[in-house]
Amino acid sequence: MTTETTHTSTDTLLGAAGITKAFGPHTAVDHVDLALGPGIVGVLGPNGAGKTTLLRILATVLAPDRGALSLLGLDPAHPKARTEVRRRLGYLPQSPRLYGGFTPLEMVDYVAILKEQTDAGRRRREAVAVLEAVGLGDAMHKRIRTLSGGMQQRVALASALVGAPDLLVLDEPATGLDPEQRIALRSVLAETSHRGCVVLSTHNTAEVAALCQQVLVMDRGRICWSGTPTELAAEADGRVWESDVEEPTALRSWLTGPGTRRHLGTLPEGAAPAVPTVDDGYLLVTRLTR
Amino acid sequence: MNTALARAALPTARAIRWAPAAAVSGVLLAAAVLARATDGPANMLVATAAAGLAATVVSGLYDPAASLLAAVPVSVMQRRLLRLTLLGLPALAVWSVFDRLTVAQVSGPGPLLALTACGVAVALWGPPRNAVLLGAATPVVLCALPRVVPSAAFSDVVAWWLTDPWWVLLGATLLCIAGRRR
Repeated sequence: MTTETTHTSTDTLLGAAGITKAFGPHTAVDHVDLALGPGIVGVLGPNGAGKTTLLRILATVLAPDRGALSLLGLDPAHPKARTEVRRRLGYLPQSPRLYGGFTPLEMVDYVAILKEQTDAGRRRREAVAVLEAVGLGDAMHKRIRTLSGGMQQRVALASALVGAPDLLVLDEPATGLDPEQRIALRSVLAETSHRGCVVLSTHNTAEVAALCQQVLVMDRGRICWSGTPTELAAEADGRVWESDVEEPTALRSWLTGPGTRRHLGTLPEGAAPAVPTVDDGYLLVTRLTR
Repeated sequence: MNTALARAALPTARAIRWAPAAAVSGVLLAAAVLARATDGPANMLVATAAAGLAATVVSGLYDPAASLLAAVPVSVMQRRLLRLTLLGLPALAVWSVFDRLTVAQVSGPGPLLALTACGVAVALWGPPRNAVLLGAATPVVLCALPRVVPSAAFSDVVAWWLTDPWWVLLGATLLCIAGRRR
C-alpha cells in the first residue's frame, strides 16, 4: 500500500518502498511504502504493531532488511548520506534515558555538539530557545535527576528539536506529559512542521485528531489504513451508536460514562447513529483488518 | 578524531561514571603497596589488576543516553572510541604505577590491553541487551578460569592473554574492527 499526501512528489521528504524488517521469525515491519512531505503524520496502532521499529528505521537507527528508503532526498544505506541525513534529523526514542548529573541545558548542548554544531554561542542560544519552547525555561539549570518524569521527557524532546531538524521522528512524545504540557507540545510540533516533516507514533487518538494532517494505522507490521483524521473518523460513519444496555451483536462495546455504552458495528434497527470520532474509526479499522 | 568528537570529550567525560574506576584503582594500588611491603603474591596480583582495570574500562561503554543519541551524526562507533580513550588513558596511567610497584614475571601494558580488547570484542558481538555487562565480565572470567578449571591445556589457552598478550590483542582488535558498526 502506498501512502501519499496531497503534495507533489518533489515535496517528498520521506519515501519508502517495500521496507521490511524481521527479528528472527517475527516480521516487525512488512513491505511498508510511504511518500510523506511537510506536515505532521501520526502513526497509530496496537502494541506490537511495528510502530517503534518503523520509526527506528525512519530515524536511521535500524537498517531495513529489504526495500528502499529515501530520507530528505538521500539514501541512508550509504554511510555518508546517512550522516548527512542525521545532521537534519531529530529523534525521540520511546522511554529515553538521560544523564542524571547534567542539567537540561548541558544535555541539550551535548546533543547539539553531537549534531556537529560548532559555534558554542549559537549552540547555547538555540539550546535555551528549545528548552523555553518545551516549557523548561525555569528548570534548565537544575540537575536532570531532580526533575519529574514529564520534565525529563521534555528535556529529551528538546534534545530532538535542537538543530532545527527538517525531519523529526518522535516515538510516543506525549508519554508522561500532563494535559497542559500536551497542549504545549502541539504548538511546538505545529511550529516544526512548517519547515519539515514530523512523524510521531502515539496511542492517543485525540492527539492525532488535534495535530496531524495525516494518519497511518499499522497492524502486524503493515500499514492497514492511511488518510486524514477526518477520513479516519468517517470510516465509522453510521456504524457507531450509544445505548444503556449491552449489545451482543456489536463488534466492540465500551463504557463512556455511568450507565452509557458506546457500540461499534452494524447499526441495529431503531438506533440513532452517533457522531463518529477518530477513536471509533481507529477501533473499526484495526478490528476489520484482523 | 573529528571536531565534534573533540568538543564532546569534556561532556562525555562528565557523563562517565568515574566512581567504580577510582575505587578499583585505589584498591589495586593499595594492594600493590601491601604486596611490595610483605613480599605478597605479585603474579596473581598483576593478573587481578589487569582484569579489574580492563573490566572498568569496558564497562565505560555503557551509555545510559544511547537511545537518545542513536541518530546523531557522530556515530556510536566514534562515541564508543571516545569513551574507551577517556577511560583507557587513566587506566594505563594507573597500570604503569602499579607495574612499578610490583615485582612480577609479567610486565608492560600487554595483559591490560589484551583483556580490554577481549572485553570490547565481546561487548560489540554480544547480544545488545547485555552486551556491555558481558564485555565487562569477560576480563574477570578470563582471569578466573585458569584458577578454577583443572585442565592444564585449557588453562594454558585461556591464559594466553597473560603469556602472549600481543597476539590476543591483535586477534581481539581484528574482531573489534569487524564488529565496529554493530
